[in-house]
Amino acid sequence: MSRIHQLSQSLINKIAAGEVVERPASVVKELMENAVDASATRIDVTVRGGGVEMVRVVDNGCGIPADQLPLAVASHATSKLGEADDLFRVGTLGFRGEALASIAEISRLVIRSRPADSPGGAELEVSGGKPSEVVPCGCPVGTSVEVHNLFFNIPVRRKFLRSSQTEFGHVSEAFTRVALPSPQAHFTLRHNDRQVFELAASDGWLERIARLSSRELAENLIRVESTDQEVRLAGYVANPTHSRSNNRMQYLFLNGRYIRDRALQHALGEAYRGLLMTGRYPIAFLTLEMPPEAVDVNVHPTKLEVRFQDSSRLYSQLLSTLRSKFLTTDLTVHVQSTGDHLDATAGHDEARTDELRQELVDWAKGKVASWDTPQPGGSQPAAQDASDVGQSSGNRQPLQLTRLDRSSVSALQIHNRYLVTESEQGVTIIDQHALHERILYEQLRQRIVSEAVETQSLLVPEPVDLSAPEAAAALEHRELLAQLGMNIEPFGGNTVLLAGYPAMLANMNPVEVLHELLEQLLSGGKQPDRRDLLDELLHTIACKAAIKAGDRLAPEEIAALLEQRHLVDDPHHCPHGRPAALVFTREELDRQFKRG
Amino acid sequence: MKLTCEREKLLHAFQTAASVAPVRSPKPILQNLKLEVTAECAMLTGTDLEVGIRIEVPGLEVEVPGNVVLPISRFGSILRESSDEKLDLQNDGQKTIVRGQQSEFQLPSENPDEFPTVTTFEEDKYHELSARFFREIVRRTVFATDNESSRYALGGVLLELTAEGIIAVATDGRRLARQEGPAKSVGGHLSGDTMTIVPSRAMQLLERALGDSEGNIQLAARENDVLVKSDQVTIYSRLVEGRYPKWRDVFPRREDAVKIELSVGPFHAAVRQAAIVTSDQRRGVDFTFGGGKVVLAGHGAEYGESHVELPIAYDGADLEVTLDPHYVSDFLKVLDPEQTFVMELRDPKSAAVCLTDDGYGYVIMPLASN
Repeated sequence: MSRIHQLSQSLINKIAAGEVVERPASVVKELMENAVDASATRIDVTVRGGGVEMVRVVDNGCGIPADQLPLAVASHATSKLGEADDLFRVGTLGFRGEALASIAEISRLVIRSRPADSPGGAELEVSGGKPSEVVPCGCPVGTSVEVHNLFFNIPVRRKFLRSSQTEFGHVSEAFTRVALPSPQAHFTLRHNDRQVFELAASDGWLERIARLSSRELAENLIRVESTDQEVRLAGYVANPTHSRSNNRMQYLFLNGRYIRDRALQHALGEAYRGLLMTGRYPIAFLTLEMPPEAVDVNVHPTKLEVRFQDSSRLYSQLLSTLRSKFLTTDLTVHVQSTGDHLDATAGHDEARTDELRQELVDWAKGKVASWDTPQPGGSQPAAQDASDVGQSSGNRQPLQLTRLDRSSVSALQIHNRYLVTESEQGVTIIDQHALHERILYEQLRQRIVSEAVETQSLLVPEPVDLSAPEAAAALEHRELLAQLGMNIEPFGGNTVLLAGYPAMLANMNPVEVLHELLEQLLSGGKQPDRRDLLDELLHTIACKAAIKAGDRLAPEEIAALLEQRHLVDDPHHCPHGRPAALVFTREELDRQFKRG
Repeated sequence: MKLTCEREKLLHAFQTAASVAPVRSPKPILQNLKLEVTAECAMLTGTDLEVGIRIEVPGLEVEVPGNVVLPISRFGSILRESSDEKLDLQNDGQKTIVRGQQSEFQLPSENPDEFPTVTTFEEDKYHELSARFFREIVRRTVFATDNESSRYALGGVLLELTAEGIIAVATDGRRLARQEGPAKSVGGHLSGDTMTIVPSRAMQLLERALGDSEGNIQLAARENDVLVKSDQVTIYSRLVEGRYPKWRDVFPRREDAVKIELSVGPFHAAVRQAAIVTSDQRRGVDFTFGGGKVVLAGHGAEYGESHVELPIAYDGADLEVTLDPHYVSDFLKVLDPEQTFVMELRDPKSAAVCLTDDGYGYVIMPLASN
């Protein structure tokens, strides 16, 4: 029998280190956060061999007095927290007093520091958790931490490290996550003596985004901003022309800290619903500022996840801010992207914004059973409590929308597929199927949402074979599906019986439609509701009913199609998110023809 | 081969047989018909390999027997455009010569031996029924089949051949049509356990090929195909593979249902009127029976509402059911407007069953609204 015994402090630290320090990038993150917490205005990060050989972070922050150096590398020692209550209003990036101790435990660490008021600096070397004497040294004001041979005493962990290139990729990401929300500080990143980033201190967040991502992306960002009580949301989201196949370009910062939050990511996806193709993720750089007590960051040692006091409200704030922004922004795909999008700013009927916002708040709280999207010119809601629906401040500019001129509805159909028409800016090319589908979808939606859905019962229930997750989802959401007219009964195994289906599907194959609905059920991060699924149904119906690419249109049909274009909220994208129209501006054409 | 034909008679046979041929096919010879001429008779055959037809051509004067393959579009046009009463047809193995009084055509000819053989009717076990009744079966069932379904079996008509007669069933899962009737089993012919599911296309072809003939037809169901023979025509069709749903289980036999007698003509008119305002998104028409009348109410958000009343013989408590008017119409369309039928109803959630006194039954599943 093995005996129970107290572990040594060093072993405890090694175990704890495993949680905090996963790879060199974690070291970079921790050290850079310390530098930011020390109010540094210049932070230089140098890495060698992907950070396994060496990581050095030099800052010009407040420094550590010589007598406190041994404490700095001791576990559970910090200057960032005083008493227990401080834990609920953490204003710094770190607070646990563990990072340095953990890193010191599994590497050879040298720390040199000099506070501004001290004539000389001090140096402390820790190797595998064993500190040496503090010795005086000459150094500039600030702190420099060098970490050599990470994991030298944990061969297991060392084995799991990837190539130096991969590790540096993670380092670079960690660097980005700290450098992005602090444009006021100067950051540099060097790898193997190669300068990777040199980010001068600047006022503009956009400039920093441009440096860290790409200039082209930065030019296609749309500024968003809103304040809801004490929560301020600000930042940039990308025009739907720019998207990624994963959600890694969604930077969300909470009080300067990079976080991941499934709910907020979902809200982001929802805001882009219908604007992006399936499987594409929006790009966003957003900061959230809220009182430290409204959020608990003490959830996980890496502080990547946090708990919000009122996450559903946050969800709706994010969603409505973006949605109302998109509604007032021209999202037509410009063939040659210009900087115009950045100028196309918000500002329209405030009541409308209120209405939309209230609807979204209600919806997020699951209050809206049936769904009724406000239409422009429709009835306005009663005045709301202003404090409940915090209005975004800022000077509003008049509505700037590029709309097709109503009088010029003549268009040319080419290849029985596209409609070419003249607009004020230049030439607009419209995908006839996408536009018609969009129009049908909007019409259907207006007609259907308020009404009950008819179910056609089946004489002989049709067995449908599903995958295991699909079958589970189908049975779990039986009631929801029934509301849509899709009656499902269990049949054992992964087979379900389809006993009835929505009568409006007419001759569409109900089995295919069921699969599409289930896909929707499985993909959402949030519990899908009737509205989501109904949406999916309507998309399918609209797509099947719309004119196809290749259909010859009579001039009257073209005119009718273009006239209806104005009835549609967002004519620039079909419901699947493909662009419905492309614009070639006159300037662009002039340039192509070398007219200056 | 050399013969003289009566143009009208050949044209009629030719057009019937041509309807079997595929519109496009990787096997071009299928876009021809084959004329087999012996001293005794002349047989025109056509096939798309799924369905085949043999049709006897009357009125030929044969000089030299032989076989010839005739291109459907060209030869068909010649038969149609010509105004001659008789045409001479001659083939020397290289080309076919068609000669009228003032016209002559030369058509290239293909080798008749390459044309697929169409099975002949040589069965001694079969069912015999009147051609008139068979046409009725087709008219009353085929419309309820579903060629789009992923359940292929629903794309055909199920034939059950018993010692007493024949039962034909068709359904698309939302409604079901069943016609029973007399047929004589010859040589102990029974469909038994095999699923005799005849493609709806073959059924329609049979209806057309039988024309107005008043005689009897012989129908032999085999393992994978079915053969139907009348005086002049033999039709062969492969069966639809797959299992047909157990239709007896879903055909309600209810003692407690309310029976309402309706006459076809006026009821059909009422259904058509009520359906005017329905749309693809809002299909249902509410039928309320009771108090000596039936009220049909249609409502679509888009096209407004309808309200149609019709006096009926039913005096009992109100009974309501929502049905897709198209499905009701499909049934009424194939009946004689002077006829009456009985509608059996129980509650809004269970099926409506329509029955006639000549063995025709039709089940419609209701629409539910939630």
